[in-house]
Amino acid sequence: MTKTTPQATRDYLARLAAALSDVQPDVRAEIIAGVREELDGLDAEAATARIAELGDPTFIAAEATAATLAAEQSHPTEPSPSRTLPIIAVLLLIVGTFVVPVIAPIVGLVLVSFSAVWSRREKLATWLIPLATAVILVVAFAITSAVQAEVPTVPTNPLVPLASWHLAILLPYLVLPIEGIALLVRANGRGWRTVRSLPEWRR
Amino acid sequence: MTVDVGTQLRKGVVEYCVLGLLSREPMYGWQLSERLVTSGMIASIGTLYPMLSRLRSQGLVTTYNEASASGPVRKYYQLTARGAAQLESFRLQWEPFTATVLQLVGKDSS
Repeated sequence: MTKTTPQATRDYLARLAAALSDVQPDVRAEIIAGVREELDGLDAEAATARIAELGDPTFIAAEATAATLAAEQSHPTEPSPSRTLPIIAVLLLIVGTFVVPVIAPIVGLVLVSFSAVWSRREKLATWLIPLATAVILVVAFAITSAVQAEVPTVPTNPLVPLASWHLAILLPYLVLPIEGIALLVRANGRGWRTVRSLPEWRR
Repeated sequence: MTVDVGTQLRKGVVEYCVLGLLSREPMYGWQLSERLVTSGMIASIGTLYPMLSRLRSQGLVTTYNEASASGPVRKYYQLTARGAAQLESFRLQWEPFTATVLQLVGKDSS
């Protein structure tokens, strides 16, 4: 779309975008992109003819809404078999460390992996984030130890946090609880339904 | 309330018609829309794109972009192996299915 785009094309795209405002975002974007691609490069006369073929934006929007609703109904949302397991899983991540250190959060991670309310990507991230944090802390600790060993006269600066192994506490008391809260918010936002039962755009 | 028989029938088969069209060649949205609207299978692109989105999420079609001779870059839809298998399964069932239905409902008596 350039400055030479006919007024009719610009008007039609604006009307289409407004009419589609209540349609699922991904479907809305696809329709607008499809129409834009079709009208792109056409002069005013050709664009007007093509617009007449495309039809009224409100009709297109009504059809898109109906088609999307029909798809959701034919793929009914099923409730999660039980909310208990996923809720226990996030609670173990959030407060487990305070109750049974190490074991409770690991059990929480395993329960998350077996729950159907989170996607495979979310489960993977739940494992990888604490692992990556642990690796970063170990590497940072090894580097600072090596530096201090080489230059023993340099006093430990308490203001440089990476110099301290105490930072390992971040993992159980900060990273895992934050992960638990994030998983809780996501699952709750989806009504604790199984990921499989959700339409693609909500996963 | 009178049920529109044509609408109900189209709903059941239109996705397979898209797969059938794509089995011949990859097509872009407007091409598909024009073909399906002309055949009376859909009323507008409003029905087409939610369907394409669904077919893509089921892994039956994929997309790629290609610049056209007249300028705009077009998004082409093409059949995946899974889509081809789904179409084949439909083709195998369609003829016996229509034959059975025809037998059951009988031919036009006029």
